[in-house]
Amino acid sequence: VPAPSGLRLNAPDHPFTLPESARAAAALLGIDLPLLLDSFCDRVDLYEQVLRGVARETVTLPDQVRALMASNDLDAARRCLHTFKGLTGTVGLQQVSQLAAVAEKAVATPQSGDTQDALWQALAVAQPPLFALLGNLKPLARQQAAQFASD
Amino acid sequence: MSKSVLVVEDQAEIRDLIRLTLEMGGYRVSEAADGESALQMADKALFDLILLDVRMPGKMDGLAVCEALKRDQRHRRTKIVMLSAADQSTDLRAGKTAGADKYLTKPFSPRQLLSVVAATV
Repeated sequence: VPAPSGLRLNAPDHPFTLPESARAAAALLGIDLPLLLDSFCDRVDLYEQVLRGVARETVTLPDQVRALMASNDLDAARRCLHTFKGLTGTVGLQQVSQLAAVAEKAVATPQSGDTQDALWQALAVAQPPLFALLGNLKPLARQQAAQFASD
Repeated sequence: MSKSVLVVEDQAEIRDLIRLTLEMGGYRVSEAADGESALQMADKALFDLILLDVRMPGKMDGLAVCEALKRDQRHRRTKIVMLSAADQSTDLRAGKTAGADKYLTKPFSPRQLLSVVAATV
């Protein structure tokens, strides 16, 4: 997708170098970080902000969905999984996003428990590199946010 | 003067991402979390573009909001871009029938969003 003309987002005046540790953590999550950041117009600060929200969700979502399922609020459970599917897809967590999609579709079926267990298991595996990636991106994100704020 | 965009999306996290992206792109952004609120806001102000999620809880989904806006002559210059998940292809046809100008499938990257918005307004 070509960059929109007239928008100063891929700011060549603010070059940055990705830490190798960030690339490595992203690779463990199946994320090609330079490519993904390009789709975020090289705005590490924006990507980090969305990723932080996703990381928070990986911790809270299982209990939230379990509670909704227990109270038979299937629509709300489906909506939670739907939102999570979209967010994880946006930040490049494709495998998790696909598992969320399967769990979303299976909410009212006998496979519901199994599909959700598969998702929670994938989240547990993804969390260590996810939080490592966040930690590695945070200084760069802060630096970039400050640069853009002062422009 | 920068273009104005109304973002109508019930998912707060997605709404935040859209708002941040559009603000970075220099747009003036207003937000609504449901169809009824969107119509109330559109009754008080004219927008250059409305980004409208198809599936929202409440009395009005995005398609109903789109139809209502397109019927209202005050909004004849307002462009409407519908948002929906990639696996809900029936929404695409319904959106066109409702009068949407463009369609953006989720998940989308900020670059895709900005490209579609820039090409529409």
